Amino acid sequence: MKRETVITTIIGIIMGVIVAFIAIASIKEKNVEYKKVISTDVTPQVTVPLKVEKKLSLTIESPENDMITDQKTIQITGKTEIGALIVIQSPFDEKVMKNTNQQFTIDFPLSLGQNNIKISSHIGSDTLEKTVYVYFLESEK
Amino acid sequence: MIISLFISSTASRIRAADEQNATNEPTIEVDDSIKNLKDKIAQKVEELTKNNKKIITGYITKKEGEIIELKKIDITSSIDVKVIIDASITQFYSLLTGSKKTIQESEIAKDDFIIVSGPFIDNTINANALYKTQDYQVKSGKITDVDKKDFTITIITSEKDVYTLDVEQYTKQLQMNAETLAISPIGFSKLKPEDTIHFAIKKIANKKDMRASALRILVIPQSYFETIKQSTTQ
Repeated sequence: MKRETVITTIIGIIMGVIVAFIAIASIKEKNVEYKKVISTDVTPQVTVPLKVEKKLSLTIESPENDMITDQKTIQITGKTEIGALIVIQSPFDEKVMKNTNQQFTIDFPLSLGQNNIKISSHIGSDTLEKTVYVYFLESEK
Repeated sequence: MIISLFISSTASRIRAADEQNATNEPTIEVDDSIKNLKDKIAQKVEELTKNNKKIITGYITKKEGEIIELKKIDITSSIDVKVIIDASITQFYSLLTGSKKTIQESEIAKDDFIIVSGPFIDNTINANALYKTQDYQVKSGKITDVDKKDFTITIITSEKDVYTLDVEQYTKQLQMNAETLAISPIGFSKLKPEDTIHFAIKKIANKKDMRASALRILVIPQSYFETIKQSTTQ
């Protein structure tokens, strides 16, 4: 056999081995990718946007309880949630308003004698109530 | 002799002047201080009277001569108050008709609801004025039942009290418009279970029988709260 033929054969064998190695290596890599195991001890972390429960509040700033006046109307001021429905009722009248600011002011008529005025704030299914007693007595102030 | 007479007369004049000074000046001081004291006392009395002047309301439990006993009932407590009548000071009025009318002491009786104004010290009030009036209750809740035969509605309040209200001819029946919030009169047929209701009644004396005639009712339709709920969730 000629010398050149031997060298070419050897080079061919070497090249074949190299190609075979590369081919085997790439197949192995693919197999590893296919056989990736999904870990079962992962704690799922699900983020759900929480509905913040608004706590309804109602404060009556004026009039003070047991106030005596000689005026036929009284100004009621207080604070409650924006958007709340405010209902004011006495045995003689009623008023309704939607609270646009945190603070509300409303003029309310009085009847002679004791006026028990109930102020309610409704928002959703929540309701808060406060009652103030105002005495309209012409000669007592 | 002349010199001695002159000396003695001068001395007596000086003594007299001294005595006058001694008696006059302190008198002026004493007068001023008494006046100041009197003014201070008057001011203090006026201040105390003003501070102690109070309104007391309650039901008469006993009436004997010039003393009335009444029970003042608050939201949290009840106290017994002694009302002292002074024939020369105390004035009696009735507010039952919606206007102020002078009445006699004899028209005040046990179980009447009264308002008394005057200085209040140690659970005793010296009545300047006594008003006979009506005690009311203003409540709210949800309609649970509507009886169209008896014209009654059953209501449960947030305190879980159950009231049966008679809807009379004179009952002012009102409803709030869910969109415009305007209040307008309604008929009995419009009352529905689940609606929120605000109502005024004459105070119920017997808590076992929670039934009363409604003076005025204001209905907040359930549709208002549903509309609000929908608009907030969108």
